[in-house]
Parts: sequence; structure tokens; C-alpha cells
Amino acid sequence: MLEILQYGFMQRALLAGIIIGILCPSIGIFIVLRRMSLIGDSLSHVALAGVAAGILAGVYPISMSLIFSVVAALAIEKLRKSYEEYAELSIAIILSAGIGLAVVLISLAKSFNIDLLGYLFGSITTVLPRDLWIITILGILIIITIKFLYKELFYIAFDEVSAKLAGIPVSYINLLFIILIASTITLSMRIVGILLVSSLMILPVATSLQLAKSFKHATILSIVFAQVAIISGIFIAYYLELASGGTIVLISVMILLIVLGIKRLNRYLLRRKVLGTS
Amino acid sequence: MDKIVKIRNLFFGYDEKMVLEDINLDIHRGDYLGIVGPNGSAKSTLLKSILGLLKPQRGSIEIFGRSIKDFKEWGRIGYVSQKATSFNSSFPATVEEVVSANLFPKIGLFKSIKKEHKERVFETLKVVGMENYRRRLIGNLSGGQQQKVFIAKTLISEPEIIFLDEPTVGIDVESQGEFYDLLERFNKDMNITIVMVSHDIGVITEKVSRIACMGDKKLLVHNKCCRVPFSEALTRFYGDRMNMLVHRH
Repeated sequence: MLEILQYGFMQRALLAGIIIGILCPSIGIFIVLRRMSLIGDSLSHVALAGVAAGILAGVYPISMSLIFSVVAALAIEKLRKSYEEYAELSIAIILSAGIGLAVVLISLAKSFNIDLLGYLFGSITTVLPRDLWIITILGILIIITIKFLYKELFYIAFDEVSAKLAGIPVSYINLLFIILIASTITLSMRIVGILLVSSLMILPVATSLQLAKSFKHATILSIVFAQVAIISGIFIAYYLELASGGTIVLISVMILLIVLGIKRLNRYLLRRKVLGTS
Repeated sequence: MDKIVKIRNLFFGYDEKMVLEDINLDIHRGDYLGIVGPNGSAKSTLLKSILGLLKPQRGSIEIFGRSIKDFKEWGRIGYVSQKATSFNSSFPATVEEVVSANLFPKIGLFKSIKKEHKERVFETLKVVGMENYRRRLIGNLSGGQQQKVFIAKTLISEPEIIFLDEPTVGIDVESQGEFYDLLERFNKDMNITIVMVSHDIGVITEKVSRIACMGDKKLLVHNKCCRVPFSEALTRFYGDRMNMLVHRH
């Protein structure tokens, strides 16, 4: 089975997958707890516009989509302040703008480029050495930043007003955080695809919340679930010739369903035990 | 006496509609001040303005001798919000994690929590009698227990003044009593100044040393509560069909 690891593209896919499997849930846990789950979808649509612009202009699409999504992330943060009572509106506005721009740029390219399909749905065979470099360097940088700001991000997610009053530089950290989200999305799209990247941020976290006994526990569990889904997903996608992104996401959904099922079963058994003894 | 908070000619309005007009208030070190008033009398707005969360249209607010606009020493101030609105009860955090949050500014950016910080969390939880719950998820505690955890979280940064916004909403009567006893202890034994917004006039008049009564955009009564012709002011704000019941054991 391990002979497939001899292929360069497989090694690259796995390495990139492992980095993304740490990145996405580590960012995702703060996104979910801050009830910003849609932000991933919103920024990934902008990233798609970036990829289309890159292909159209003949520029490296990942750099282009990184620029696009960071600018969009800053716009979301700015809009969030204008619509304080409707924080999710800013996310929806950028989502619409992103998809509109993407469609126009794709139509300008006249034909639907095959490269674009790879970005949309994720394709392990297309992770180039250049992609791996950017994923590794930026990925490690983002992981270190999250590690260093972990406690502040936790406090802001728990209670933004109290964090501000305790003297935490909330606005700066929020700005940095949204840039981290945009970068994570751009880095992850090669593996899971633009359309599915946000699921990789949300699903492992949703599963971990079912079992977590503390915040630290939730973070660790969500990384474990993401790793299981990504590594097994890459192998299964290769052997069954499936799209890697879809396979990874479906495995994540399966893990979530299994955890929910076990919890339900436990509750049922406990109830029976209680009823049986009374 | 040492004035910790000084408010002068404060005006605040939401979109043209003024809710605070010409408010003047001094809070001294060691005060236990209750801010009361009917619903919608902008009590919380006043508190948020003092804390710099809202920007008034006119007037000045000084805290520890500095304008709130340039105030940076947030560790000297504690804030406990209304339990129900301030946090997501399914948040996966333990009591220990929640309480240590207020140590973060002291620990500093890019640094992690050490053993000494954990010990301090334990000691602070002991003060409110919640040390045995430190590994429990905050969402699994009762309202009263949660509020004790939040007061421990506030206390850990050793504030000189604590602001509380309707801290006992949704909490059972027995836990409310314990909570007020704790506040009294902080005020008397630790000399922490306490400012509490509440609509519970009965409790406020029992516990606090000074009272500020809000209504009709103004802050009207502002004095030692036992010296004030209080019922007259209350009638003005709450209407003449109001009765105040004080129940002593």
C-alpha cells in the first residue's frame, strides 16, 4: 500500500494535507465559536475570483487569490463595524461580491479552464512543488501566530467586550485573525478545493464540540479529526480515483455522524440503566 | 476623599434621541454605589459610557484621573456583565480557563500560562468557593455558580473598582443572597469600590452605601441612601402605584 508514497505528487499531497489539517481546525475553532461559520465560504468565493484573475493575467493563481482574499477579509472587518448589529451581513455582502467578480472573470476567460476545476474541487495530483513551498512556509507562520495569540483569541471568542475591557488589543487581533483566515483558505484550496475549504474549518470543530471537556481539549480533538479525514481521504481518493476535496469532506461528515451516533447510544444505554435500577 | 470616577455634564444619545442629559457623578474610593431606575432609563448606557464602550456626544469622564479616551490601565477595572447576554453557554471552556482569561493582559502577548498562574486561579476560585468546580465546563453550571466564576475572573486581575451590570438577572434568590454577601466582603474587607446597576431597588437600598437614581434622562438622587427622601424620587420615576417592600430576617 505504501508504494504510492514513492510518487512525488503523493508525498507533496500528504505533506500539504497534514499542514492544512492543523491549520484549518485551529482557525476553525475560533470561527465556529464566534459564530462566523459562513466567513470561510465568503472568502473562498473571493479566492476563486483571485484564481480566475491569476489565470487570466498569467500570474501564479495562489498569490493572486491570496491578495484577493486578504483584501476581502479587511473589507469584511471594516463592514462588520458599519453593521455592528448585523455582523453576518458583512460576510454576505463580500460573498455576493466575490461570486459576482469570479463569474465575470471566468466569462472573460471565454472557456472554463481545466486548471480552474482543480482549484474548485481540489485535486491532489496537481499540488506542485511551488505550491508545497508556499503551503509549508505560510502554513508554519500561521500556526506559530495562532499558538502565540491562542489565549487572546480564546478570550475574544468567549466574550469580546470583556476582553476589550481587560485590556486585550481586540481590534488589532481581530484584524490579524481575519488575515489568517484568508491566508488559510488560499493555502487549503489546492487540497480540498475552493468550494469545500470552509467545511474543513467547520466539520472537525463541530465534531470536537460534541466531546470536548475543555477548550484545549476541543482544539486538540478537532485537529485529530481533521488529520484522520485528510490522510484517509487522500489515500481513498487516490485508490478510488475520486476528487480529494469531496472525499475528505465526506469522511469528516462521517466522523461527525459516528460521534453523534455514539453519544446518542450512550445516552440511551444510560437511560436504560437508570430505569432498570429504579 | 479619593475620587476614582468623575463625570461632568455628560450627554449621550442613540441616533438623535438623547437618553442621558447633563449627568454629573463622582465615585469615591471604597464606595458601594447602586445605580437604579426603571427599564429603559439608560442605566446600562451610563455604565457603558463610563467604561468607554460608548462614546458620549458631550461631557467628560475621568477614571483614575485620566480621561476615558486615553485610559490604558484596564487591569485596575473589573466588569461583570449580565450573565444571560454575555456568553454562549455551550462554549467549551472550563471554569479554570475562563477565570485565567483576565490574567492574559498581565501575562502578555505571545506568552503562555504557567504553573504560578494556575495556582492564582485556584486561590481566586477559593475566595468565591468554586475551587472544586475548576475543571467543569462553564456551561454545565447553574446561573448562580456561573456568576461566581465571572466574579472570580474579575477579581483575579486585582481591580480597584468593579462595575456590575444587573449581575443577578436570571439567578435564584438564594444564590443572589450569596452573591451580594460576596460583594459586601470585597467592598469592606478588600476595599474594592463597587458600582452596580440594578433594577432590584429592595436589595440595592439594603446593601449599598450610596445610590444614584436614573430616570427621565437624568440622574436625580445621588447621595447616601439613608439620608435621601428616597420614596419621593422613586415615585417620580416609577409612578405613584409603586410600593417598596423591604423584608428583613
